[in-house]
Amino acid sequence: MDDECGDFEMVGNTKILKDWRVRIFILALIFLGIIPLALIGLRFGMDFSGGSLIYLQLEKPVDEATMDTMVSILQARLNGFGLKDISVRPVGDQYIMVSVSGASGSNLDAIKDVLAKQGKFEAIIDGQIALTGEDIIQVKTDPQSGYGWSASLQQWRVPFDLSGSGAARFADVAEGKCRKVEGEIKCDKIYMFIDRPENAAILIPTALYNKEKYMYLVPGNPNSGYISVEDLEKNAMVKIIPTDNITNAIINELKSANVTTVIIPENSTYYIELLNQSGFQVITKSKVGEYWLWDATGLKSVLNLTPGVTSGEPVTTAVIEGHATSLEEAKKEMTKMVVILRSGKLPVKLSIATTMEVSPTLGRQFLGYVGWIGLLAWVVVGLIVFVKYRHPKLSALIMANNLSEIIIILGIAAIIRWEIDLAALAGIIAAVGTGVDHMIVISDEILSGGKRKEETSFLGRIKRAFGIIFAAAATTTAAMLPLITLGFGLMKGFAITTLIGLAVGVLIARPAFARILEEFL
Amino acid sequence: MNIYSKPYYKYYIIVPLVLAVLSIVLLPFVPKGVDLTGGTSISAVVPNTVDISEDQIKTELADLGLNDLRVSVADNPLNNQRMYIIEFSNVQSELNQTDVVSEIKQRLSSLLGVRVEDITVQEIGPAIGKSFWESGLRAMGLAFLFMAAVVFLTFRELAPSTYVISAAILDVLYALLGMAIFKIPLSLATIAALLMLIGYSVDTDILLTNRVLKRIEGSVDDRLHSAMKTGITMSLTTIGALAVLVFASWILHIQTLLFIGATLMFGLIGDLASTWMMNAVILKWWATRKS
Repeated sequence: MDDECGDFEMVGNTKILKDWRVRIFILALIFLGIIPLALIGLRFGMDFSGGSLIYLQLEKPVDEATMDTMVSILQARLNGFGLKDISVRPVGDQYIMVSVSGASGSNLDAIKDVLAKQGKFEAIIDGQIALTGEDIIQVKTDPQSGYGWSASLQQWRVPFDLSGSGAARFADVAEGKCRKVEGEIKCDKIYMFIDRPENAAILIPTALYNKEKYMYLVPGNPNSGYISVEDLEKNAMVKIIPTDNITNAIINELKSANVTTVIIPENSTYYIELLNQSGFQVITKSKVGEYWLWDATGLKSVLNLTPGVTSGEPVTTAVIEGHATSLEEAKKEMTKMVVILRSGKLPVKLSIATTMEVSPTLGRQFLGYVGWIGLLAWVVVGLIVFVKYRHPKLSALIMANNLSEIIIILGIAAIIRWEIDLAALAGIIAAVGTGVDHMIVISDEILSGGKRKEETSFLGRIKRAFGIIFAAAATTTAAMLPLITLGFGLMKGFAITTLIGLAVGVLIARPAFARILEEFL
Repeated sequence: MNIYSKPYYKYYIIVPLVLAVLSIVLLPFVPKGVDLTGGTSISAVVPNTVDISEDQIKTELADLGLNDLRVSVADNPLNNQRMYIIEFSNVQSELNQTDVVSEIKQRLSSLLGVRVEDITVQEIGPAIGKSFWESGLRAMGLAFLFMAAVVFLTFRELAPSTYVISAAILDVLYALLGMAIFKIPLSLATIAALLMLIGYSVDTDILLTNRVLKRIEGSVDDRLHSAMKTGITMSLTTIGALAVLVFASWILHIQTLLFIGATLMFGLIGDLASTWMMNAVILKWWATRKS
């Protein structure tokens, strides 16, 4: 900004500020550049913040609906994994991108493990497995089969088909789980898990334990019913140990219970080394949902059994019903239930196609370096221009114009929430390179005119310069367009920043440059 | 001194043509990166006081069944760091890739004294590599097509437009020549640089053709000469900025930027030959014949 003011003072007259090209340029610098940068700020991609990208390849291309199902199942499973900042997005019709920011080490290996495996769905009643993903043949999502919401009953329904053996096991486990107590029928609950940990124990700090001792089925609503930690312990079939320290007694308890995996909350003060040394696999899970214990055990839903299903008679068509007061609420619940029921069986097989990890420390270092490289390159360009023209004002003007262009490109990146990665920075460097070229064309056209004024008017020369610049920018734009789709769009950043840079340069920065140059020559 | 007024001006064209032949001969020697062939690349940055040789690492990993194992070490004198890069195409079929990679991470961690989370891994499946390669070729083809269309629309004359497009083809060849000599792999990043080059390197040719075709002042030789003065200044500023980028990212081991910068730089240096020793020469011949 200081450079800009300097230039206008050099011009030595304020008339130039009234020119519309210069005004647009200044407005763009302020409103597209400085203000968004200051208010929104830049988002840095994986190259600089660290993290992992995993591309999953589906066995065959799928339609949009199947892709949506795949993505929501993976989302549900990875959420259960207890990691924040994890995103699952479809890429075309055959790939799914999973990006995890900042995850590292054993957690990442565990994520890859989850992705490579089929999901594990289990419905458990009274500590016994009633259904698994294998038992669910089909979840019906068409209204003809009864799927949907009834406004009059304020009730939603998700019907599904069970295999013969699944129906038999369910009937067996559920039999007699509704009892008459003091004239009122009380039924057991059915617990639905995705990827429930096996041979696992959960260590929970006492403060958190006390907070989650009773978990309401509808958060914040005591009338919705609750489950206790003991209920969860029994049905998730894991040991839940409230403690603030890892003692030898606990280690021994874990060992005697044949525990192999220990799950602890994020940011706990436990001395994990002790667990590692004793040969346990330690998994850290962060709280994603309402209760940490639900995330830690993979519990997705708790429903009440109804007397109709506890007679012991096997039924192969089942339905899950719930209460909802609006279509929106019902839709949310139904989608959630469909995803849970389908999680055990992905519609299409998938495999890990590629993974990329960047360590956060390395990334942060990169960012600093790139800043210095940019600065140095900028100065070198200024020097070359100065050596060529021996004209300090012209060099300063070119450098200032360049800097403003970078600020506007970054500002626009901030506005469109574009993540800056290494490719994007390369694109900015490229755009700035073309910008300098264009300014040299303009300068030469204007400067060379001195001796042949009679042949082509000043305006004619500027017009000719812009003819060259527009053609040059157009070829670059044309050649960069295919880059948007190259390799999953991994190089999109390069294309986007170059294209923004070219547009800003040709439409905003160069006209102002020509006008200012014209004024002070 | 106007080089286009010399009687032997036609012979300038030998230089770009010889370079082009050389590029085509060396074309098979351009390496393909992990992202186009499929494979795994693992890198770790450590203080340069860690003194473990490539061979030590190879020995340490020998029993893991890694095919085409390559290990390289590079020093960063600015911050006293050293970077190890381990690459292999795949693991022997009976082993599980994920397990092997985490085992390598564990071993590197204890060998180099670096935290497991500070190790960077890139794995590309062979099928994806192939599809990246195909999409890369398609993108290059499209870029050429689009660029050519813009050039034709700009000049609306077949011959000069063809010269401009030929110059762009040569520039890409020269970039590939540089990549073959300096062992810069063809990857998504360098393909991006080549696309940029296709659109960007013709800027000088557009300037040249515009000045010769559309200017009325001076003789053809004068116009060629003035275009060359402007064009070489343009190229020099960009090459200067790229030289900074290449040198710095080489020292600092920022591979993506190094490869993109170097590819562009080779192409733009080559563009000096293709524009001023070929395109300009043919254009003079064409303009003289036409008048």
